[in-house]
Amino acid sequence: MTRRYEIVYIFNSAVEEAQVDQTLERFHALLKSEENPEPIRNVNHWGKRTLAYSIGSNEIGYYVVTQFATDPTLLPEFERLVKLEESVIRYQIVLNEGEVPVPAPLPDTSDGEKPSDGGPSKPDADPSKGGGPKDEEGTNEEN
Amino acid sequence: MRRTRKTCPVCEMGVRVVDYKDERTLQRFITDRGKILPRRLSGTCARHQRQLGTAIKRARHIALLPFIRTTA
Repeated sequence: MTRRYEIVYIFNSAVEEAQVDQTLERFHALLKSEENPEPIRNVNHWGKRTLAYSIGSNEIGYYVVTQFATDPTLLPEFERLVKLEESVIRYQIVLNEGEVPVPAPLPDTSDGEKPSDGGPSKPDADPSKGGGPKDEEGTNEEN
Repeated sequence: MRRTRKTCPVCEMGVRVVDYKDERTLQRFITDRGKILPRRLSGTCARHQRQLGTAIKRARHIALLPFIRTTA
C-alpha cells in the first residue's frame, strides 16, 4: 500500500544546484518499486533562504520540498541515506494525505466494505493533526 | 454582560487544513518570543488550534520559525 508523503530538505547553501539535483535523483531512486515506478509527484525548489536559527554553522539553507507516494516499508532505508548525506543539513518527512476527505460518500457505498487499511477514520485522515501519523514524522535532528 | 465570542481567524481565512510551510500565516499565531499563542488570545477554534500547534512545531523543525527569539 502506498501512502503520500511530503519531505522538506534543507541543503547546505554552499552546494550548487546541479549537485542538489544529482543528490535528489539518487534519493528518489530509492523510493521506486515495481508497482510504483513513478513515486515522485512534485519537486519544488524554494531556493536559498535565511534560516530562523543557525543549524550548526549554517545561517542560510537551500530548501527543496518534494511530494511523493511510496510504500512505508521503503522509508527507513531512504531516511538512512538522507541522514548520511552531508550536504543535507536537515530534513523532515510528514504524511501528506491531502485535504480532509469529505465524509459524505462513505455511507452511500454500503457494500459491506470497511475502510480498514489505514483508511479514513477521522483522526488519521487529517494529515496536519498530531494524531495517528505522528510517529512517521521525521523528527530527526541535524545530520 | 458577556462579551461576544471571538470568531476563529483561521476559519475566517477559509483555511481548512493549516499548512506548516506557510510561515507568514503561522507568524500571526506566535508571540514576539516565538511561543505559540494560547486560544484565549488568538481566538482560534479547537480544531485549528490543534492544527496550528502541530504546524508551528513542524515549521520550527525546518527552521522556518524560531524556537525562541531573543530580543535585545
